[in-house]
Amino acid sequence: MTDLVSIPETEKQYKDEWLLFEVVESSEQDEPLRGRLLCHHPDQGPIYDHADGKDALDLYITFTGPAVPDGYEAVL
Amino acid sequence: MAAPFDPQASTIRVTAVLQGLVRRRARLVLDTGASRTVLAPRLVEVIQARPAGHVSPVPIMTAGGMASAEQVRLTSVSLQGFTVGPVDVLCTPLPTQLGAAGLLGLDILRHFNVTLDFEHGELTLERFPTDRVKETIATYSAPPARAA
Repeated sequence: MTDLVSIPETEKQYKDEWLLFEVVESSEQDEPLRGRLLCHHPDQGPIYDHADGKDALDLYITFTGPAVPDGYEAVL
Repeated sequence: MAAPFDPQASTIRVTAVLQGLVRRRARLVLDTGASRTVLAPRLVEVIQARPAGHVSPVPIMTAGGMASAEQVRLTSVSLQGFTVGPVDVLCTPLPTQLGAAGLLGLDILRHFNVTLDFEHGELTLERFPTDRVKETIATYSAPPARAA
Protein backbone atom coordinates (compact mmCIF):
# COMPACT_ATOMS: atom_id res chain seq x y z
CA MET A 1 0.00 0.00 0.00
CA THR A 2 1.48 3.33 -1.05
CA ASP A 3 1.35 6.44 1.10
CA LEU A 4 -1.40 9.01 0.95
CA VAL A 5 -0.24 12.08 -0.93
CA SER A 6 -1.52 15.45 -2.05
CA ILE A 7 -2.66 14.83 -5.62
CA PRO A 8 -2.07 18.38 -6.91
CA GLU A 9 1.43 18.42 -5.37
CA THR A 10 2.29 14.98 -6.73
CA GLU A 11 1.19 16.02 -10.21
CA LYS A 12 3.81 18.78 -10.08
CA GLN A 13 6.56 16.24 -9.31
CA TYR A 14 6.08 14.21 -12.48
CA LYS A 15 6.76 16.04 -15.72
CA ASP A 16 5.06 14.91 -18.91
CA GLU A 17 3.79 11.65 -17.45
CA TRP A 18 0.47 9.87 -17.19
CA LEU A 19 -0.53 9.30 -13.57
CA LEU A 20 -3.06 6.98 -12.00
CA PHE A 21 -4.31 7.83 -8.52
CA GLU A 22 -6.66 6.16 -6.12
CA VAL A 23 -8.65 9.10 -4.77
CA VAL A 24 -9.56 9.09 -1.08
CA GLU A 25 -10.54 12.73 -0.74
CA SER A 26 -11.95 15.20 -3.22
CA SER A 27 -13.39 18.68 -3.10
CA GLU A 28 -17.07 19.55 -3.38
CA GLN A 29 -16.30 20.28 -7.03
CA ASP A 30 -15.04 16.71 -7.55
CA GLU A 31 -11.41 17.82 -7.84
CA PRO A 32 -9.15 15.07 -6.47
CA LEU A 33 -7.25 16.26 -3.39
CA ARG A 34 -5.63 13.30 -1.65
CA GLY A 35 -4.93 9.76 -2.64
CA ARG A 36 -2.40 7.12 -3.56
CA LEU A 37 -0.24 7.19 -6.66
CA LEU A 38 -0.73 3.74 -8.20
CA CYS A 39 1.18 4.12 -11.44
CA HIS A 40 3.06 6.69 -13.52
CA HIS A 41 4.38 6.27 -17.03
CA PRO A 42 5.27 8.38 -20.07
CA ASP A 43 2.71 6.41 -22.11
CA GLN A 44 -0.95 6.07 -21.29
CA GLY A 45 -1.24 2.36 -22.11
CA PRO A 46 0.29 1.09 -18.86
CA ILE A 47 -1.99 3.43 -16.92
CA TYR A 48 -5.11 1.83 -18.36
CA ASP A 49 -3.60 -1.63 -17.89
CA HIS A 50 -3.10 -0.80 -14.24
CA ALA A 51 -6.66 0.50 -13.90
CA ASP A 52 -8.19 -2.72 -15.24
CA GLY A 53 -9.83 -4.80 -12.57
CA LYS A 54 -9.80 -2.12 -9.91
CA ASP A 55 -13.49 -1.38 -10.25
CA ALA A 56 -14.05 -0.77 -6.55
CA LEU A 57 -11.48 2.00 -6.35
CA ASP A 58 -12.10 5.67 -7.12
CA LEU A 59 -9.45 6.20 -9.78
CA TYR A 60 -8.21 9.39 -11.39
CA ILE A 61 -6.30 9.45 -14.68
CA THR A 62 -4.34 12.51 -15.70
CA PHE A 63 -1.43 13.67 -17.83
CA THR A 64 0.93 16.25 -16.36
CA GLY A 65 2.31 17.64 -19.61
CA PRO A 66 0.57 19.87 -22.12
CA ALA A 67 -2.49 18.42 -23.85
CA VAL A 68 -0.94 19.41 -27.16
CA PRO A 69 2.81 18.82 -27.47
CA ASP A 70 5.07 21.84 -27.74
CA GLY A 71 5.54 22.88 -31.34
CA TYR A 72 2.06 21.72 -32.35
CA GLU A 73 -1.16 23.67 -32.71
CA ALA A 74 -4.61 22.20 -32.15
CA VAL A 75 -7.42 22.74 -34.66
CA LEU A 76 -10.80 21.14 -35.18
CA MET B 1 -16.90 27.91 -7.84
CA ALA B 2 -14.15 28.56 -10.35
CA ALA B 3 -11.45 26.11 -11.37
CA PRO B 4 -8.03 27.47 -12.30
CA PHE B 5 -6.55 27.08 -15.76
CA ASP B 6 -3.43 28.35 -17.50
CA PRO B 7 -4.46 31.20 -19.81
CA GLN B 8 -1.30 30.66 -21.86
CA ALA B 9 -1.82 26.92 -22.39
CA SER B 10 -2.76 25.65 -25.82
CA THR B 11 -5.83 23.91 -24.40
CA ILE B 12 -7.99 23.99 -21.29
CA ARG B 13 -8.52 20.74 -19.44
CA VAL B 14 -11.18 19.98 -16.87
CA THR B 15 -11.65 17.12 -14.46
CA ALA B 16 -14.71 15.05 -15.31
CA VAL B 17 -16.27 12.26 -13.30
CA LEU B 18 -17.46 9.68 -15.79
CA GLN B 19 -19.96 7.06 -14.70
CA GLY B 20 -20.35 3.92 -16.76
CA LEU B 21 -20.67 0.64 -14.92
CA VAL B 22 -17.55 1.93 -13.19
CA ARG B 23 -16.85 5.49 -12.05
CA ARG B 24 -13.63 7.14 -13.13
CA ARG B 25 -12.17 10.64 -13.02
CA ALA B 26 -10.21 11.88 -16.01
CA ARG B 27 -8.95 15.11 -17.50
CA LEU B 28 -10.67 16.12 -20.73
CA VAL B 29 -9.94 18.95 -23.12
CA LEU B 30 -12.67 21.55 -23.14
CA ASP B 31 -13.52 21.72 -26.84
CA THR B 32 -16.21 24.11 -28.03
CA GLY B 33 -15.33 23.04 -31.56
CA ALA B 34 -16.58 19.52 -30.87
CA SER B 35 -20.31 18.96 -31.13
CA ARG B 36 -19.99 15.72 -29.19
CA THR B 37 -17.90 14.54 -26.29
CA VAL B 38 -15.27 12.02 -27.32
CA LEU B 39 -13.53 9.46 -25.14
CA ALA B 40 -10.52 7.33 -25.94
CA PRO B 41 -11.36 3.63 -26.34
CA ARG B 42 -9.16 2.58 -23.43
CA LEU B 43 -10.97 4.98 -21.13
CA VAL B 44 -14.31 3.61 -22.30
CA GLU B 45 -13.01 0.15 -21.46
CA VAL B 46 -12.07 1.02 -17.90
CA ILE B 47 -15.36 2.76 -17.16
CA GLN B 48 -17.19 -0.14 -18.82
CA ALA B 49 -19.58 2.05 -20.77
CA ARG B 50 -22.03 0.07 -22.88
CA PRO B 51 -22.81 0.72 -26.53
CA ALA B 52 -25.69 3.13 -27.02
CA GLY B 53 -28.70 1.38 -28.40
CA HIS B 54 -29.18 3.51 -31.48
CA VAL B 55 -27.51 5.04 -34.53
CA SER B 56 -24.06 3.66 -34.12
CA PRO B 57 -21.53 4.27 -35.57
CA VAL B 58 -21.92 8.00 -36.10
CA PRO B 59 -20.31 9.82 -39.02
CA ILE B 60 -17.89 12.46 -37.78
CA MET B 61 -15.95 15.25 -39.42
CA THR B 62 -12.45 15.94 -38.15
CA ALA B 63 -9.70 18.26 -39.30
CA GLY B 64 -8.22 15.23 -41.02
CA GLY B 65 -11.38 14.31 -42.90
CA MET B 66 -14.46 12.18 -42.49
CA ALA B 67 -14.60 9.16 -40.21
CA SER B 68 -17.01 7.35 -37.94
CA ALA B 69 -17.20 6.68 -34.23
CA GLU B 70 -19.07 4.29 -31.98
CA GLN B 71 -21.48 5.65 -29.41
CA VAL B 72 -21.49 4.58 -25.79
CA ARG B 73 -23.85 5.54 -23.01
CA LEU B 74 -22.65 7.09 -19.76
CA THR B 75 -24.98 7.07 -16.81
CA SER B 76 -23.70 10.52 -15.92
CA VAL B 77 -20.92 13.04 -16.31
CA SER B 78 -20.05 15.39 -13.46
CA LEU B 79 -18.15 18.65 -13.75
CA GLN B 80 -17.30 20.85 -10.79
CA GLY B 81 -19.86 18.99 -8.71
CA PHE B 82 -22.70 19.28 -11.23
CA THR B 83 -24.04 16.12 -12.83
CA VAL B 84 -25.74 15.60 -16.18
CA GLY B 85 -26.91 12.43 -17.81
CA PRO B 86 -27.50 9.94 -19.09
CA VAL B 87 -25.49 11.04 -22.07
CA ASP B 88 -24.29 9.25 -25.18
CA VAL B 89 -20.69 10.06 -26.09
CA LEU B 90 -18.44 9.04 -28.94
CA CYS B 91 -15.66 6.52 -28.65
CA THR B 92 -12.85 6.82 -31.16
CA PRO B 93 -9.07 6.78 -31.08
CA LEU B 94 -7.43 10.10 -30.35
CA PRO B 95 -3.89 11.11 -31.28
CA THR B 96 -1.49 9.25 -29.01
CA GLN B 97 0.32 12.54 -28.41
CA LEU B 98 -2.80 14.15 -26.96
CA GLY B 99 -2.31 14.65 -23.25
CA ALA B 100 -5.92 14.00 -22.35
CA ALA B 101 -8.27 11.04 -22.30
CA GLY B 102 -10.95 12.77 -24.32
CA LEU B 103 -12.67 15.91 -25.51
CA LEU B 104 -15.49 17.60 -23.66
CA GLY B 105 -17.89 18.79 -26.33
CA LEU B 106 -20.94 20.99 -26.63
CA ASP B 107 -23.33 18.14 -25.90
CA ILE B 108 -22.31 18.39 -22.25
CA LEU B 109 -21.14 22.01 -22.10
CA ARG B 110 -24.54 23.31 -23.19
CA HIS B 111 -25.93 22.18 -19.85
CA PHE B 112 -23.97 25.04 -18.29
CA ASN B 113 -23.22 28.68 -18.57
CA VAL B 114 -19.49 28.51 -19.17
CA THR B 115 -17.30 31.45 -18.24
CA LEU B 116 -13.67 31.53 -19.30
CA ASP B 117 -11.92 34.32 -17.45
CA PHE B 118 -8.59 34.57 -19.22
CA GLU B 119 -7.55 37.58 -17.19
CA HIS B 120 -7.59 35.57 -13.99
CA GLY B 121 -7.27 32.04 -15.39
CA GLU B 122 -10.56 30.83 -14.00
CA LEU B 123 -13.16 28.53 -15.50
CA THR B 124 -16.64 28.72 -14.03
CA LEU B 125 -19.46 26.34 -14.82
CA GLU B 126 -22.87 27.51 -13.73
CA ARG B 127 -25.74 25.08 -13.92
CA PHE B 128 -28.95 26.47 -15.27
CA PRO B 129 -31.51 27.30 -12.58
CA THR B 130 -33.86 24.77 -14.12
CA ASP B 131 -33.33 21.49 -15.91
CA ARG B 132 -34.95 22.85 -19.06
CA VAL B 133 -32.36 21.51 -21.46
CA LYS B 134 -32.32 18.01 -20.07
CA GLU B 135 -35.01 16.55 -22.27
CA THR B 136 -33.55 17.88 -25.47
CA ILE B 137 -29.94 16.81 -25.19
CA ALA B 138 -29.77 13.70 -23.07
CA THR B 139 -29.78 11.65 -26.23
CA TYR B 140 -28.71 12.36 -29.77
CA SER B 141 -30.00 11.35 -33.15
CA ALA B 142 -27.72 11.69 -36.11
CA PRO B 143 -29.05 13.96 -38.85
CA PRO B 144 -29.96 12.27 -42.11
CA ALA B 145 -27.06 11.88 -44.50
CA ARG B 146 -26.89 14.47 -47.26
CA ALA B 147 -27.42 13.36 -50.80
CA ALA B 148 -24.23 13.38 -52.86
